[in-house]
Amino acid sequence: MSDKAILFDTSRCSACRGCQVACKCWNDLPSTLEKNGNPPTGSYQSPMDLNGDTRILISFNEEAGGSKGVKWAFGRRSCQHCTDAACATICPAGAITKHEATGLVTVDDSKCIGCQYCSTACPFDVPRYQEGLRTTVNKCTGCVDRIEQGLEPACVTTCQPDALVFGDRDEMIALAHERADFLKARGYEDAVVYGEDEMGGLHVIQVLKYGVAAHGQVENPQANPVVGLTQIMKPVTGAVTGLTVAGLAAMFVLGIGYKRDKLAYNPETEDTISVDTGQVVKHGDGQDEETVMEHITENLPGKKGGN
Amino acid sequence: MTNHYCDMQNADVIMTIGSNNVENHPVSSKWVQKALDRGATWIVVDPRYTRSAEMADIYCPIRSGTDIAFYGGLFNYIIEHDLWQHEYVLNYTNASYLLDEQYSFDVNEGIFSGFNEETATYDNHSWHYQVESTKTWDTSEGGAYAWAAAPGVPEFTPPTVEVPKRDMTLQDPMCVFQQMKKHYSRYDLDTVSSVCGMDKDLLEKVYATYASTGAPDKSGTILYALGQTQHTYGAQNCRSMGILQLLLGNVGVAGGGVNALRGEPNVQGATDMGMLVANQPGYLNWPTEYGTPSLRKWCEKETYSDGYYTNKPKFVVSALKEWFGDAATVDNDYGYDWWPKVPKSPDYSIIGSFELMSQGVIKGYFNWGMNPCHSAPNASNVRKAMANLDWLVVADWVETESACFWKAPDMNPADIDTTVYFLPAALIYEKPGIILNSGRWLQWRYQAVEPWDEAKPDYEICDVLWTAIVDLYKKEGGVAPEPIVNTKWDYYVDGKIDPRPVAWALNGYVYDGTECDTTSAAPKTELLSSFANLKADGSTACGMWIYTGFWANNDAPLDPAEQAVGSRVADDPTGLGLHPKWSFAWPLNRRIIYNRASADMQGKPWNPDRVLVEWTGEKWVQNDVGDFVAVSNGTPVPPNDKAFMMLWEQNARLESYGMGDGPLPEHYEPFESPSDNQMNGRQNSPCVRFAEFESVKRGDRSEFPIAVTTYSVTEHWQTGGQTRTCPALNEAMPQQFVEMSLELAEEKGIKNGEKVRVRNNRGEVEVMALVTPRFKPFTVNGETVHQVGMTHHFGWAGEYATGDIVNDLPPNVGDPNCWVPEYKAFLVDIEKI
Amino acid sequence: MSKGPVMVSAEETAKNKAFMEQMAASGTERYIRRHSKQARWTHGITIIACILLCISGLFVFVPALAAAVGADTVFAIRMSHRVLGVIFVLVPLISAIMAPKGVKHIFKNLFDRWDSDDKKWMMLFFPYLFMAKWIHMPDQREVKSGQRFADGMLWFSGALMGITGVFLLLGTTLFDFGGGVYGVMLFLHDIGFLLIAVFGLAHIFLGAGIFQPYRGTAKLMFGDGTVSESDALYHWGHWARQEIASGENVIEKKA
Repeated sequence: MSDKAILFDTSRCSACRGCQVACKCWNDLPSTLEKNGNPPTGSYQSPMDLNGDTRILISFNEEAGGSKGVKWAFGRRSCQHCTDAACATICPAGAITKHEATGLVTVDDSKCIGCQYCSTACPFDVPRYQEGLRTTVNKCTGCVDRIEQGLEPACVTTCQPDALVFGDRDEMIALAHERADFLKARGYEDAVVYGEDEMGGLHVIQVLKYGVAAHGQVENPQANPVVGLTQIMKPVTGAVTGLTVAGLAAMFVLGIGYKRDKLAYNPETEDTISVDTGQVVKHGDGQDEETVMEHITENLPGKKGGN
Repeated sequence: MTNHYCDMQNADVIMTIGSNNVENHPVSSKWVQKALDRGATWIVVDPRYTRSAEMADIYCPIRSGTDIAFYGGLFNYIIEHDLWQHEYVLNYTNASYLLDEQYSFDVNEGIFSGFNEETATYDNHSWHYQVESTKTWDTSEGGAYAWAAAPGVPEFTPPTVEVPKRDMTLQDPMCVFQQMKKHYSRYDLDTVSSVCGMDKDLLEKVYATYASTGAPDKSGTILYALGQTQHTYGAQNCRSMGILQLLLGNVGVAGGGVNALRGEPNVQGATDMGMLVANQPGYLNWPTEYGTPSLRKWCEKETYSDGYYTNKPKFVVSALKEWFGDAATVDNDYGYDWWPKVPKSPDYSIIGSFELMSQGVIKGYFNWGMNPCHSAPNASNVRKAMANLDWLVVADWVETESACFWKAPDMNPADIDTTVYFLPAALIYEKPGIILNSGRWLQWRYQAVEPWDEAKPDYEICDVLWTAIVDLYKKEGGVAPEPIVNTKWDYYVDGKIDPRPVAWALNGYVYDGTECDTTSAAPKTELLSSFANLKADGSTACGMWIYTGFWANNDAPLDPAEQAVGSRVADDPTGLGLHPKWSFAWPLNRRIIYNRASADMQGKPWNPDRVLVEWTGEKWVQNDVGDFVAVSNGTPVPPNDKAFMMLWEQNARLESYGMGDGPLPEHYEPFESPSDNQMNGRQNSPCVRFAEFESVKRGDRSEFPIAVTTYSVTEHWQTGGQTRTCPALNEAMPQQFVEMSLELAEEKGIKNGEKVRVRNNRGEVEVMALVTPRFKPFTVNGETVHQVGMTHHFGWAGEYATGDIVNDLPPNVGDPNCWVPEYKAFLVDIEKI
Repeated sequence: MSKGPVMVSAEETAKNKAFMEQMAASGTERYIRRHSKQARWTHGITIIACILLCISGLFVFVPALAAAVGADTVFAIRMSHRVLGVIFVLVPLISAIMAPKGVKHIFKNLFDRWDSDDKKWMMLFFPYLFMAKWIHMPDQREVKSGQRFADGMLWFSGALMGITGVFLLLGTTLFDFGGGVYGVMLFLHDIGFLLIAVFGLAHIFLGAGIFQPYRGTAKLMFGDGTVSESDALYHWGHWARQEIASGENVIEKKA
């Protein structure tokens, strides 16, 4: 199977949010059962952000302007399925992985240890956590469970106006460019294709009618640099610790058979005396007068170390 | 719809007006997109910038309730700029017909000729045509109408055919075209933009774009919904769309038509079924006490003198035969007398019924699959009316506001003596049956799951009730037992009520050849494949003549998959999206009605790429099932001008004497309006219904200056019984809102997301303010008019998401033709809480 | 100390002999008190927490370990990491509040001046680790120069782990610091782990007396907090002489 992608064409999206609901239904994600428990948002958008039970939402941005007086830009807030998926890289538990057949970034929440490193790593602020006995990551899985059965992702299947299309990534890119050109010709000068190169190439390709920012997308997304650093720290820590242990072991081996005379101090004479030999090893408490080299060489060769 | 969803892709220009098709009919967006991909232009005309407007090419704001001014201006523009489709209009419409010399319109009074101020009704005599000559039916043996005199056919005097006077040069001042031209000359761009509150240049751009479809090979489609109909002149709005499409030659063509987007999956079916006070199944008129008290009178009054409706006696006798079975004989007028007759007064339409309840006339009420305590206009008045009932039966699948009206915040349960029975109904997925979409497609749906708990399918509830009622009548007699005990009720398979024999009844069959109550797996049926086979002599039975053919396979009469209704072959041989083998479109699987008009007088299609029917010189090629007489007695009928055979004229009506409130659409302001009528001397339609009711409590703009319209959002459906039970939908759209402009919000000191109170004389509600640039103030007659819009899906009932009843606010007044209430334009005031 | 016996006067030799005989006859040995009970308990609890933190942390740090034990176990371990983390942060803090003088003493020693013996000791330290049998180290005051450095690094990395740990804990529960801040904290936590691993292992090697010349030092923290006269003279010669001369912290134990 070649890389797959979801194409999201904002110019075809009617913002009905069938995708939002279909995702919840397929993935068994709850909405509140509390009476009037959803907060007012002052917008058609609800909820206002992704959360532990919401993997996808349609955003509504409106501003005055354009040929029709208003630009009402609908956006898709969900996992973009990066080729260079920082979340999968940083995940210490193998819960977020790249699905080899499709390139989608999928989740096995049974493996999630709840460390939330993925949400730190994500340039799109996507991964969220489901609260429970064990907090687990909640992020779009790309519906690989459906794809493996020959179906499309739930959001795509439900999309009435074909704003969401699922297929081979290169075909989706070609389609996206065709659409962007079409839109430009129809007066949407800012129409762009998003996701072709971002983060090594996203597996959600978007046609953004009013440009990147208007649809709530991230211009030039970059993975949190910490992802690379933490990945470097693992081998570095391992190597340095290994060296330390090896060094300590060597010291121990070289120290086998070590013994020294017992010492005592006579404050009256200010003499430090070897209890074993009775000899005075030091008088007074003055600073050492030998050189470093003398210290190293004085008992070599053959002499046993003393006090 | 004259056309269907898949056909939208064929349009060159699409105009959405009085609809938010993307949001409320999501499937339409798919087909509209296909049209755009092919280069079409999409115009959205709406008071606010909707999700549809966002997807369209041109958005034109319009003040609610000024559609006729908009259309009138467009007629004027088309006529002035000579953009009408000449051959089409001249031959296929009544443009050339001469109107009665008495016909007139008084601009100062704002009324047409024939108005009676006292009764607020018109006498339409002067709206008729001048008569050239008359003809009578040939009922002799071998004559065209021999069937009317055949044995078993009820006796009636056939109508006289009046041949209207025409002036094919369209120069006669009394011809419809000249009268229209004169009538709409007042609707110039300046006046219309002032009435509608539109930018004049934008208005002209919209006009020019849409009028471009007057070119013979171009087609334009209109998508409309309740924004057109829910006005005190809603029927005239619809007429306007018809006139517009006729002027531009857009009716009957692929990518054209007047397309009502139905708000419920099965509202088309409900309409066909005659869930209306004036219609019985198949758009036949109910008998009336005053006009059609006998079958003879009915046949004489309702049967057209020419065109396809000359066959009405066949339809009504077949309906009676289905209704009363063996008991229906020619001697007893097939049981016609057992049918209830609509009285002149009182009025039993929705609004009228609640008035009768208030008066204590109606004492018991079956409330089946509707929720008037929430959905009816002036809903608090409905709740008060219901409190007068002795008993109320509610069949629904959740406890709706109507099922618990006594729990309303403005009700005191201790004061209410009404006994309420709740019958749990099965969900659509819990029963098999047929659904009709807006494109008139009948599609069989299988049962997915068993009904929950005690819930039953509606037909089963009916059966239980019916059986008990009939038993009571049989046992105890009663005042008039005949209509009850003689009613045919044999829709059983293996002794159990079943929708499949009901389908036979709707489809029609040879009466003596079909055994309905079946206990065998292979019942004997003689189902009919066309309503042309229906007879007026009692030998056929048919409950729904327009559906004939949808269930006509006698080889497997109990298997829906083997019937047209169950067919799911997606082939599209023409590439026009007709999909002739996917389900069944009434009538006769015709996908685009009036399709004769897709070709010129020689039978050549206006657009060779969109061939629906075509005359080859010898015969008709029919890509779609022809909506005209293509063959008569086995001989092909060469092209003629009879493109609209459902009218006696067989030409479409630009002017129509059939309307209650005027032969041509004329602009009046909504019942409650923020402005004066600039088009004529009368503020409101002279025929507004129910305005006299005390409960209407009409508001004045001095007190309630803000115009409001109501609408739905895609996330919720109607009164929310279903959707407010779905937590995911509540999450997506948690509450009701009032959308308002930044300017109004600033004036009122209201911030986005705040709770505000919206009120008028009929009620007040608290909703969230949604302050948005998508609403802009209108400049009407030089003055600023603020308009807001409200959603209406919430009520006190339900466990998850509740809210105030927004429908407490609209006035309970109606259109004079079909009694539709005016939800789409009325007055309120808004205050910050 | 010098390379060989120091020649002293006969009188002095006699005095020394008498002193030695008296010591032998007393049947006791001299010990110097070095760490208080509170210091030992604080140290004990903290390093146990630290070791457990390192182990539990490894289950998040090393993917293979996480995979080996399964998510539920790792989650439990992660939660224990948080509890241990709280102990690791709070116990030294509480102890410090209870004994401000001790804190002052510790930091005075950590940042004490470096005399010639200190510098020389530091230069000799690495050769010494491998040649302890041959190299005699210069005398040291209460805290060796190298010890000041090593302990300092432990103090530093411990504090780093504590502070970043608090951020990581709060950042996933009560607050959202944003990916940037959280990420930096995560990286610093990793750096801290590296430091703790290196200096902690070395500290154990030396402090627990695995290294032969340091044998017996474990008793300083895990015994009664005293050091024998002989060991004190070997490790911290200057300090031992001062303490013995003053006698203030000298106790005698049966030999």
